[in-house]
Amino acid sequence: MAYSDKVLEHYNNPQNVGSLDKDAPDVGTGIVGAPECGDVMKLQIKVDPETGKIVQACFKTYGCGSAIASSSLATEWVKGRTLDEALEIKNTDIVEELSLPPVKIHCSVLAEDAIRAAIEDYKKKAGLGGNPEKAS
Amino acid sequence: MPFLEDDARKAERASTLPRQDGSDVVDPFALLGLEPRPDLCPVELEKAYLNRSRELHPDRREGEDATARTAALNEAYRLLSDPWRRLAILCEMREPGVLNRCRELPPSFLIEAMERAEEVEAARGDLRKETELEARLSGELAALERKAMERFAAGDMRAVATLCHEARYHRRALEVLHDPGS
Repeated sequence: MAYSDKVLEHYNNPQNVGSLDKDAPDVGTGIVGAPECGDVMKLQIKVDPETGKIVQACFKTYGCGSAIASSSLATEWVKGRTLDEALEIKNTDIVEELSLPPVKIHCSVLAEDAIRAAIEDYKKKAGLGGNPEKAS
Repeated sequence: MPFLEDDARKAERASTLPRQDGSDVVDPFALLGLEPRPDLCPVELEKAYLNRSRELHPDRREGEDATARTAALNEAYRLLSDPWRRLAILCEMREPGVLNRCRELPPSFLIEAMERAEEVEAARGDLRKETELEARLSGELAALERKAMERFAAGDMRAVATLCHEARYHRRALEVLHDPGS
């Protein structure tokens, strides 16, 4: 399958690969997986508690080019955003930006899930209540 | 002539199952004239495949869909030759949609999968480490398969579906170890 130029760009030169200390109080970690293909993706955010903005983001993904590109793009996009702003990133935005074909849409879903999981993890640590739907 | 036209027709009729979305999906077991069960041995599978191939061979059966039938048969054989695909197909036959319902894996499992992928990456290029890791992962995969067979026999399709998903990560890790190019 042919990858789009943007996917190749992120694949060959992925942004923000690495790890943050998952035990640090200002770091949120999200690990998600796609069982269809055995992909696994870890996305981490570092939040400034003063401003509530994401100051750093990194990822580690074992998967296809589209999964790597989706997570690379996701880390680029969340940086500088508040948590609520980061939650506005939708998988469809990633699909559009990377011109992902239908068979690779699940890669963008994985990236969106990873952002949500990382934010959820940070909120839990920071005592921000987490998902309001789950709060009673 | 030992070949019975009726048998082939019966098998064809029996070989489509209703899917969740209303469309029909081919039941590869029926196509090969086999009982739907997970513990098929390769020999009986091959025997069934060869028998059915003879019956459906375009030289014996006229008609334009003979080629399509042979292709379907080849596909059924390919699917059932893989024990994990076989288990996944059986799961869906027993409980349609179960694979999708069980697709969310526990975080502890995903952390393990991540660590395993890191281990594979670290072992790459070191033949001794690669061999050790391959042996360990193959052993773990075989244990998962035994567990899946047990859960299938117990009728717990959710457990089988989850194990099928978990095994995908082991299989993926082994694929990476086998393929020096990736």
